[in-house]
Amino acid sequence: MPILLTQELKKHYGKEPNIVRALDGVDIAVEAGEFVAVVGMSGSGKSTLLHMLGGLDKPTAGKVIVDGHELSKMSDEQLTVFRRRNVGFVFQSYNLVPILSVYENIVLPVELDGNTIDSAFIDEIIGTLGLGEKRNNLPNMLSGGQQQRVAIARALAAKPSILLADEPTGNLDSKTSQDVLGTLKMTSTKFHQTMMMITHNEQIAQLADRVIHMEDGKVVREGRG
Amino acid sequence: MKNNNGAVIRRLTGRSLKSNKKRNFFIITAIALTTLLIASVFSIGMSLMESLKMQEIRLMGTVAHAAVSRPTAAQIEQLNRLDYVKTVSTCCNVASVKNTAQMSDANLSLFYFDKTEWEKSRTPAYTDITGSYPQKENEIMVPLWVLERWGINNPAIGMEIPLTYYIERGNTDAPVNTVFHLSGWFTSYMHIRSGNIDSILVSEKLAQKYGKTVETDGSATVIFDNSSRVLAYCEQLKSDLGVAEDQLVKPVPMYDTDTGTMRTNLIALFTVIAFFIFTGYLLIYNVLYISVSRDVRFYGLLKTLGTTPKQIRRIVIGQILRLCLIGIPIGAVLALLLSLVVVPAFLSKLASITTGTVVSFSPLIYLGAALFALLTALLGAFRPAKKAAGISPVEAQKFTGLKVNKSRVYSPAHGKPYKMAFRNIFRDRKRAVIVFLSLFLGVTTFITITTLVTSMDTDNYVASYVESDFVLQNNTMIGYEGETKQKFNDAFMNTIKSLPGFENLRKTTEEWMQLEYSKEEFGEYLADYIKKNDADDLTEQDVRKNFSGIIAGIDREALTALNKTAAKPIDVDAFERGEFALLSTGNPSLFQNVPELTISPMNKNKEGVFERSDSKSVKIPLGGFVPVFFERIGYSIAPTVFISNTLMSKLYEEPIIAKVNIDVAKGYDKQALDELKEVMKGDYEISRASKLEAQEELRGTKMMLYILGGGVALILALIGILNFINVMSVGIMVRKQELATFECIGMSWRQVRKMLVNEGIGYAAITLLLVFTAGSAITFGIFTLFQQQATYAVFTYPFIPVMIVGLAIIAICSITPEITYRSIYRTTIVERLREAE
Repeated sequence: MPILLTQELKKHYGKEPNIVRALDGVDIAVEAGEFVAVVGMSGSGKSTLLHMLGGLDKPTAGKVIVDGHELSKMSDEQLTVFRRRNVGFVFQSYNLVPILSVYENIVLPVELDGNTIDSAFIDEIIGTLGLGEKRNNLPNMLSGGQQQRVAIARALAAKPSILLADEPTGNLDSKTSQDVLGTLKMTSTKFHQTMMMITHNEQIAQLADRVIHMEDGKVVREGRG
Repeated sequence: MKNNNGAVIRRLTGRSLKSNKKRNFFIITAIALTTLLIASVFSIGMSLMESLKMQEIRLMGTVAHAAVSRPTAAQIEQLNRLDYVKTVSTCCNVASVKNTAQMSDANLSLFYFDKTEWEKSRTPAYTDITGSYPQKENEIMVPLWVLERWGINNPAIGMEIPLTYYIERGNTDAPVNTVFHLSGWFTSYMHIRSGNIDSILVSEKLAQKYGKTVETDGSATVIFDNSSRVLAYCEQLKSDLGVAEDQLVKPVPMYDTDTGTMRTNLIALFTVIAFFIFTGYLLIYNVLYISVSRDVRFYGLLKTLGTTPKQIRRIVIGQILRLCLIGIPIGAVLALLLSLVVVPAFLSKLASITTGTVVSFSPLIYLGAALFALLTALLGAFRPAKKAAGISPVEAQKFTGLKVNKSRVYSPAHGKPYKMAFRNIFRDRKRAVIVFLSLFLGVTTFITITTLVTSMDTDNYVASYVESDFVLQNNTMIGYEGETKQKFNDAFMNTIKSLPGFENLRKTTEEWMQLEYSKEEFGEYLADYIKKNDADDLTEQDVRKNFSGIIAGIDREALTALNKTAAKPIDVDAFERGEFALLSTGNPSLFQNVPELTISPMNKNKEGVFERSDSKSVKIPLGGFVPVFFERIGYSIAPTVFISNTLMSKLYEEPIIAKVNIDVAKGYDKQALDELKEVMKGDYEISRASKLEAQEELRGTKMMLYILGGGVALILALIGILNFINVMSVGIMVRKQELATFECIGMSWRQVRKMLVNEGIGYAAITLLLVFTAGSAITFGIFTLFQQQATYAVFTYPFIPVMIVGLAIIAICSITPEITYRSIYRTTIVERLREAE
């Protein structure tokens, strides 16, 4: 049973004749532990797909089934709780909380869930991502690469089964991009996570186990990474 | 190279304005409120000043500055030539009216005013002028109060009025009887000041008939070109006219002293205005600064495209000027409405205004308020404009509108909404400080004013100012220009005793006496007196000759009250038997060498000069001391002596009763007051204080101060609240993406809301903490200052108003984030995430 599954997934904006079909009947299936890259031009619908999978947006038609749960049947509140337990997000613009320290940003999803922090695990993540010295710094004191690593750590902290990354290297130079991607791949393997990453960079996509190509809201091609 | 870029700058200014509607609302409100506050203060201040000035003029009965008695024709001609004399007019005394029983103590003359005198000097000081100035020999024009005394309550032009009068000075001739025709009447106020001295106006023909001229029986009155130099001009007139020895150049009494209070009033006025400008500035500055911060990318872009810093400043300042165009008129119109309703009500509550109020609608009020509001707006815009102009185009592109001052934190937030809320408050410390300051000033002002007003204890006020139910004062005593009269004669006393519910009365008599001076006894006292009164030119010789002062007779009750608080009680019975006298002093040690006093009564002789009657001198032991101004009696060179009324009657044939204290049984005060009013009607030589009236007066004043002060304070509080609302709502708007992130990583809607509401409550909590600590200290400090003036005030903390305001602040602070968050929550997380990018 795939951990991520979409059936005839559609997301339309506006009305005829000016309708925008961001997603127009997408069927994908991702197995647990798989690393999938979604590639496409700007406006191809890849970000919308990611948002649907993360339960951030509701589909116009079709189903999104994550780990056996159909998202469209959940309330906002349930979705939020589902997200913080099962899904980790990494954004292009990091989206760290500026008033919280590196450590606080990382453990935020765990604390929001009211759970006690698995210190050994968090320390392991922090160590793995090389953020040990920056623990108490606020995000504005970090470089772009460091900030993205904090964002990755945050996505891992609640031990989610799924990691969704939206152009995680879009704001980084190529050297740092390599570092961050290496880290992402390494951690997802290490912590047995399923990862779906959006990119418009074919080269980066090659790191994935599988590459899904999108155009005009449809999956046009799939292949091995 | 000069180029014409005005049009594009104007267009950018206009567009920028249109895209910031919410911000514009805040700024317009701030400008309008500032204008309203300043205009109101100006309006009250100017109306008060004009009312007082008008009152002075009305009480003087003329707007003239000075008079020259019995001027010759040449002198009048010379007066007309002097460049510092604006107007010259003449008047003359024609006759003095014979007093009738009806008129009681009124002192009336027939007077002729020339046309200029009547029109330029007198009419401005009178009101309700009806009819015309007498032209025919048998015409008169009469003040309304005189008509009333004659029993004419509905006067008619042409009605016949018989009068008996004396032509000769000193009333030595046979009285003349004439039936006059009433040509007009008016309300005059002069008799209130002068103790019922006033004039009945007659024609030139009547004056001519009796051969009365300006040169023999009149004076020339002048209006100078500058009312602040009246005293100097009077001196100059003396030499310019070459006045004879028997001629007087007399300034009208309202100009014969300098008014030093004017400067204090002006300082107070400008302090208040500076305070208003400051609070207005806090709001405008904060709103604009935040708005410029949000528009950093826009200004950066403009700069990238080649807009100079000067042009960007013009865009920002231009926006504020356009907003002023809307805000100032709104504030001015509101202030105008306020002037129509509140100001007259306020002025009429002031006990010191008795001759009617003037509400000033001088354009200066609105012009001044507009100028100050404009100043406030420009002050507020200056730094934001500078910031906008100084934005680097490169940095602007990276700008997110989110500012964090710190680089590290040491105590973890543990995802607790309240901890995160606290950090959010201080994210931009300067902004937070301005909001706190703004809220703090508003709320503290409100609490201070409320405290002052509630502390005005009516009972205490009445107890400290009016010792008995009624206190009647004889106004013809020391310091009075006219003759001292026994106003409280037996007949009057009997009337008092028949007042409804009458319980008791005590009287205070007052006379003039001389003490025997010796250096051993009074040297120390004299040195102290000279020091305290700056009387350096007073020599010991003068004093030895004339060591005179007031002697007062009191009843035992006055001492009984004093004994209650005195460290050394006075033997009231012995005092009553006349065994000793008391001295009024703040420092009894000055009199340690005075075992007894030698008192010589002084009486006025025929010429009205005090004379010592040594034959009646008495020696009396000094038996103790009473405080200065005991029984509200002043002092002269010699210390004021208090003896019993019994002894007083032995020293003086009929000692003048200066004051009568009356007490009536409980529940009779209203009835007694009405009756007393009737008894005293029209008699300006007796004044009255009563507990009932004092209470009513204070209640009215209290209410008015409450409305006025409370209103001002509420506006200030509103400015603070607007500042908070702006900071809070903008703070949430710019954090749209951050909040969306919170939701992405699993913060529920409720948790985000809780965090934001906590943030709002945090503002409220910190503000209220400041208000209750520093604010209370300020309130108490101001109260202490206030109490020095108003000794009857009792510190009363206005718990209920403070609680209401506190709750209101908490409510507003928690509702604002909720509403703002709801407004952004309408869009999906994805949209919010995207929008921010």
